[in-house]
Amino acid sequence: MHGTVFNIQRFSLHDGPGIRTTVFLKGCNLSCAWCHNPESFSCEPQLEVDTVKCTSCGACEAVCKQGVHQIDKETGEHHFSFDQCVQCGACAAACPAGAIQTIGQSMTAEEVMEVVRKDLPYYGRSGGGITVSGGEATMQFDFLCELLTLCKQENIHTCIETNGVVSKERLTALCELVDLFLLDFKHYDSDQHKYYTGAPNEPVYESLALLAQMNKPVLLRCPIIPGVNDCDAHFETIRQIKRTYPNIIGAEVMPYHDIGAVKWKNIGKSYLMRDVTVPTKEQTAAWRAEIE
Amino acid sequence: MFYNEKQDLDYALAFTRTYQSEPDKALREAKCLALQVPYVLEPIGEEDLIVGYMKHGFVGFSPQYGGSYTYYYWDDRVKDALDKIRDTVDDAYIAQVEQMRAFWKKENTEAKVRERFYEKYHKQIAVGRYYYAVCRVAGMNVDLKLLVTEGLPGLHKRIQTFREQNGDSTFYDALEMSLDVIADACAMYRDSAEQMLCDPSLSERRLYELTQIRNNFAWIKDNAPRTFKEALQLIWIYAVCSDLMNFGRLDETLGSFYANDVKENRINDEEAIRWLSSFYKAIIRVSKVHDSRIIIGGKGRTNPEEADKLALLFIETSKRVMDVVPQLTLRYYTGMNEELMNKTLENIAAGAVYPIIYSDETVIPSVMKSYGISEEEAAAHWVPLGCGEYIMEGCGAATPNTGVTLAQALDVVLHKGYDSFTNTLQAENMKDVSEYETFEDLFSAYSEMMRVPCEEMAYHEQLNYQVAGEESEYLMVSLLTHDCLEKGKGIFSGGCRYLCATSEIFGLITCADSLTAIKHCVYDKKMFTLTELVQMLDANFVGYEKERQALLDAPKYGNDDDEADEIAVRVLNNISDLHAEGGKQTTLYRYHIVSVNNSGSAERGKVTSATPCGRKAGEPLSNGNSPSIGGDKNGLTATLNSMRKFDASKHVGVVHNIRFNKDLLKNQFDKIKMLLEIFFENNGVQTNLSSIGKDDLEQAMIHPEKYQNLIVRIGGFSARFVELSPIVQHELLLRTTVEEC
Repeated sequence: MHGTVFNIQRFSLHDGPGIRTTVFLKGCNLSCAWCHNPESFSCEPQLEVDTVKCTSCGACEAVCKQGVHQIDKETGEHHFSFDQCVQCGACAAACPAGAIQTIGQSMTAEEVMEVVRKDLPYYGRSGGGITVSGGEATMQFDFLCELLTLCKQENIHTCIETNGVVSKERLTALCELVDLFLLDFKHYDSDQHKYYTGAPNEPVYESLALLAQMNKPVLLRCPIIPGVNDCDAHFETIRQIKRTYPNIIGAEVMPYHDIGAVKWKNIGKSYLMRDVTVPTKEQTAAWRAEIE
Repeated sequence: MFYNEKQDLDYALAFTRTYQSEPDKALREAKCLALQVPYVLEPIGEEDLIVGYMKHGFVGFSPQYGGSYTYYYWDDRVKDALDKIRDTVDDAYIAQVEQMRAFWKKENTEAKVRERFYEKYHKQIAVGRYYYAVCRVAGMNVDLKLLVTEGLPGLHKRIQTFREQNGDSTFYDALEMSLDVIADACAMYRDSAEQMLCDPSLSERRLYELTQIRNNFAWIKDNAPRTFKEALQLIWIYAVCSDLMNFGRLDETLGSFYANDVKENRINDEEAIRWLSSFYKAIIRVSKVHDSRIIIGGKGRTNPEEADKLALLFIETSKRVMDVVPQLTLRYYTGMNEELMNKTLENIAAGAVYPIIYSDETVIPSVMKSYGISEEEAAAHWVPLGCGEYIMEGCGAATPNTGVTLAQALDVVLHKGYDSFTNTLQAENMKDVSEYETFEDLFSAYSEMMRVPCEEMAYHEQLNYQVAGEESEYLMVSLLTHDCLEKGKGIFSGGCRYLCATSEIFGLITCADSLTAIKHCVYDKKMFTLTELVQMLDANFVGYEKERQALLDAPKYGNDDDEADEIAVRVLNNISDLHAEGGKQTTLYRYHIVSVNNSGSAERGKVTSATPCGRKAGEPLSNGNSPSIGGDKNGLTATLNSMRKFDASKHVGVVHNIRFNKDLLKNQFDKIKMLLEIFFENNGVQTNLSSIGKDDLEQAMIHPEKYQNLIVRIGGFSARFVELSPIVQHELLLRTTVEEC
């Protein structure tokens, strides 16, 4: 079967142990305000305009029958609204600056495997393998299972990155196929969790409990966003979770960064975290110490 | 010593008389050396522990001094000196100098090579822009272990032994005389140290050091060295007398001396590092950034444990001295002492660019194949010389005297034989591009065009050795090159085992990526015709931004893309085969290619028109077998995989520049180490590693005064960033830095 993949990143050093290939699947059931991959929210392929590369030549405007693109004649500014976009790809093909691209490509699990296999020599000794991320990796559940099954058949170590908002049945099924779960823990307070991500945190706790019951190794991943969750109560909760579940092999701080900010603009969305300051190295180190 | 113009001219006249008075080439060389060496030796420096430095006269004997060789001659310097003293000397003296000038203009060895080339081809040697040839014997690596094990008296005995076997000859006489030249140099420095010891103002420490220096020379003049310091001094004084610039496997050569000293409590690590640092400073003073290699590690050493201990001190010394030379090079192999790799990467993380790493696992089998030799011989002798070309240490020569810029060659093919940058005819009878109906038509035209230059260059390489052999015996080198004494012949007169030559290939990946882009956009996708493409190149893509984007988007080498990588492999194999075929028409043992590159990739890029890979005119060409600038977009494992696809026996050296983000190596030490080891064990050849931030390079361009010590790796050599030309600085800035993903 086919899945919608929006990136395959080789030589990944931060998504699990060893040297890994991270496969990013499109589609997410949350919409975290600080997300650095907002192009992953939708399950479908979509357009992205790199406003830095754009030379305002108007080639896209000329070919688009849906009126998605408008170039301001005076300022040269490129306005676009993807609501009418039918993803025909004409604008991307017409753009001489390579500023427009379609994000998300339909691939079979076997096609993904062809890329994953290329780095086989590097996985073995380093303890690396594949990490499936997103979006939310479990959104394309059947495709995910097929891909992981192929990996297991070829003895490739598997990780998935999940926000934990996933059904019991699916998570149970995945325990068979996943060697290590990279599970996000975003906010200790359920209301705040919902406010910033769109969902309460109870399902995350349920997933944590289930994985503990199944005795599956979990690496807790904790995005720390200044002004959102860099508070004592949140850190204490993380420490408590670590104490409670023996299957948790560690907790990582994922410090806020604004690299994704431009992507929001490029896909025609507005970024809500504009006022958040990127933490210093010292700040990050202090957070790491907090969750030790 | 410090001489004035008159003394320098007197010396040149004396050298000339000596040269003219002796008809036998072996004795002539020995007599010339006996005159040259004492004249050019410089005094002991104030802080020297390892002593010896020589300047070069206007005329002299050297394997590769100043871009010329054997009996070299610098007419412009003679003329300048004469002009300066013209009013103070008589007419007879001026006439003598003028006679000497006329004599050497014809008699210098390089002129003889050029004349002989002209006799055959009726043109100047390799005048084409996209290929070139020079005269020199670069990168000699001799058996220094033989030198320190036997010492000067042992070598005298060896000569005696073979003289008895083969009968008397002036060759053996001259070899003995050349040993005396070295012994005399030792005597001179011994006496000089002794004199300095009389100075009552000497500090206690310097008194002690000078005593050691004096004793070292006094001993090695007449005896085989006993200690690490004596052995190191003997190597250096030999290097000074012979102009040797590459030192080969010094951990193997000196490992047992060091181990014995440690056992006898004569030395500790810090003391050894102090002497090695002085040795490094002596090398730095010679300032040969494309040479000055020291090799550590690797298979085929007699006592790896002893050698490794010393190898670790070399790595530490490189970190402390932190300069552009010597080019410390580690030979990696599976199962080697883990500490060597750890310390190597610690050096890189600390901002050093040494050691460079080569893989024995890949290189030994490939050298066995390309030289047709046993595993044992390959393991014992292969070393990279100068910029990274392999040579069999102590068994031959492999001078890289010729080169081809493949990106320019392709430009000539696309312009009906004309180089479009200079608009000059470079190849006859080339077709118009409209006649190349298929990609294969184009490729064969390119390949066929290259046949003639490869033959010419091979013939030049043969002449380079042949004429050197007719003029001299290269006594100092022949002394420490296997088979020469045995056969009673000089290294270039049939004495050595492997008389090879090397051709430097520039812009290989630019050429390959251009061919891939042509195949992809013109022949497969038919986006535009080849004629249209040439128009775009001639316009430097102005008005063709969309088409340029398509060319840039075509597959590129360095991304583990089979289509692009296969063409890169094909381009390398093709140029390798053409050289091999050219070599077969000569007396060379082998004629190999090397894709090493120094600053040439940027400098040649400056005078190369736009290329079909999407590169604009004047931009840097690819460096070594590293991807085109900005061409690698798929992560480091993908780049390493592309690099692993070449048949390593088709070349004798490639370089791969990998620059890590500063924090990456520190934070991900184990993963990077593993990654490199896996690369080296799976057909990876070499890496030039560095961990210098792009921000540092940018800052260094703005505030050079603050970055005087920023050392960067350029391909086949290293340099202080602030001393590089803006062209090269720019290229370095554009290279990919591996970031954390």
